[in-house]
Amino acid sequence: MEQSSENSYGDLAMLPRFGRKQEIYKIAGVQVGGQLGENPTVLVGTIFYEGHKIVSNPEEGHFDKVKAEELILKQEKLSEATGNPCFVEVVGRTAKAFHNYIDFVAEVTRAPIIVDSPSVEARIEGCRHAVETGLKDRIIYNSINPEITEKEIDLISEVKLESAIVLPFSGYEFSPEEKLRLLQGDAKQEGLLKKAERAGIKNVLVDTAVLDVVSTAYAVSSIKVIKEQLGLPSGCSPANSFDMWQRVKDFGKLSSRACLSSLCVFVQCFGADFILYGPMRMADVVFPACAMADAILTYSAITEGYEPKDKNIPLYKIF
Amino acid sequence: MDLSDLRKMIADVNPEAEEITKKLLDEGVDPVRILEDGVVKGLYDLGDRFEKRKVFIPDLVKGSKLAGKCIEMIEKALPREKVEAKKKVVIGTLLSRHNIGKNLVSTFLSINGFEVHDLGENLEPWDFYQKSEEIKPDLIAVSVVFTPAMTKFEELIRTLKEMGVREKYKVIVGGAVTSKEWAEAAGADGWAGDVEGAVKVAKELLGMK
Repeated sequence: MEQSSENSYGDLAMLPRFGRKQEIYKIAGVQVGGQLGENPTVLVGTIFYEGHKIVSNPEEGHFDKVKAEELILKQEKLSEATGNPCFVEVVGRTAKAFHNYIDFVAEVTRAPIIVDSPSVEARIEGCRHAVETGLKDRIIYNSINPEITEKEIDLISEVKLESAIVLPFSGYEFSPEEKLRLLQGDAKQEGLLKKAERAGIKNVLVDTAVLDVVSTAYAVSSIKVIKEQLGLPSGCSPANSFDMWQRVKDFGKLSSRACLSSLCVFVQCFGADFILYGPMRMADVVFPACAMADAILTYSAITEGYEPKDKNIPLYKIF
Repeated sequence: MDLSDLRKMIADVNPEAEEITKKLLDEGVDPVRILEDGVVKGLYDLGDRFEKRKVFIPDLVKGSKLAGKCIEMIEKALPREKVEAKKKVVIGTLLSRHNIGKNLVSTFLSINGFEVHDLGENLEPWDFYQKSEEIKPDLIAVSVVFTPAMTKFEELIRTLKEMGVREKYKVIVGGAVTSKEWAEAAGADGWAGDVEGAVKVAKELLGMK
């Protein structure tokens, strides 16, 4: 629905509207971005992360293929059933590991793939391999952040990637104003958006970073501000902080799962276009909850005049 | 306004701490006392509040930033000979982007008279070796926050030995996944479980009071 991204469907009682026209990207067929209720939230499950039990050799990229396929297909099935699109985040330690991981994931699913690693070399080479094997449109680089070097910018540009997560955070900057400054730059330093542009990135997904559960307050405020002022698809990774909350288990057997899904819904309601929800095994905890919230958001938008063209959305699929 | 007010402002993460620091310096209060009795004690109080779940990680980060601004002013007022007499430390996080603990240790080492060279995060063992050879520190402080970095720390010790420079530097380590027993077995000279411990062990190893 073209008009919605331009904020033209009237006074909404329930939904906040972003004044600025929202960018909506199509990454390997998946739409991300827009006003609240316009496009279903993209849910991102992670696989092959540090400590993932299905990985037997993280340096070489050896893993249990049966279990990996089960996880990816479980997420995909839930994505199809709910109408919430999915990305697969692949974490690798070495270039060699990425070759194995990306080849495998690309064969199992058509979903976009986020490539992440603590090693710059590994993630660049992982992306290079993906591009060489014809996956350019599906690859999202994670991430362009304040620590990026000129060399890394050149390498991203050389690999000719089109999509990246931009992370305006390096330890101290968590307020919305600081994140905007990092994105846009100032007299002292070039902004991350300019750096992403120089790296050839066309599709910028802003990750507003979460430090701990309560700091989700800053992450969602930043999503609101960035969408309002820059109109860029924004989201965050509440899972990163959730693991630190050990005491959640004191509240009962189901508390951890209930709180993770609630946390994802919480960020969704403030406008998150994508959510990195953590280990992919949690897909059945997160997808139904986020689909339900998306259905409510879309319904609310419809009552204000929004007409979804795509019927493959949670509102029309989950009830 | 006195040192106890500054201490409280730091503990409450109140931006007015900067103004009070400036005022105390203008009034001629000993900068070392402003540092120790105002800023450092305030940070300890903030740490206590964190332990008691009265404040949260963003507050610690904000407090650390605020203290950093105050320390910058105080350092300019410190007697020159004290600045020159500093022992050098290089500090960084191995393999991951975590920096809160490392930054706090860095701040505390600075305010305790060390000249701190923060190498940043996401480092490889070779980065520590290379930078140490450039900066020539007395001590290397390593933050190890997740399990794969433990192996990297052992690799760092091996690298220093293989390059024939292990004896030149004292090496300390700390971080969420580490323990004293592991640090000893890995070949560290010292380990600390918190920022105060890091300062203590650094001072002990370098024979400082």
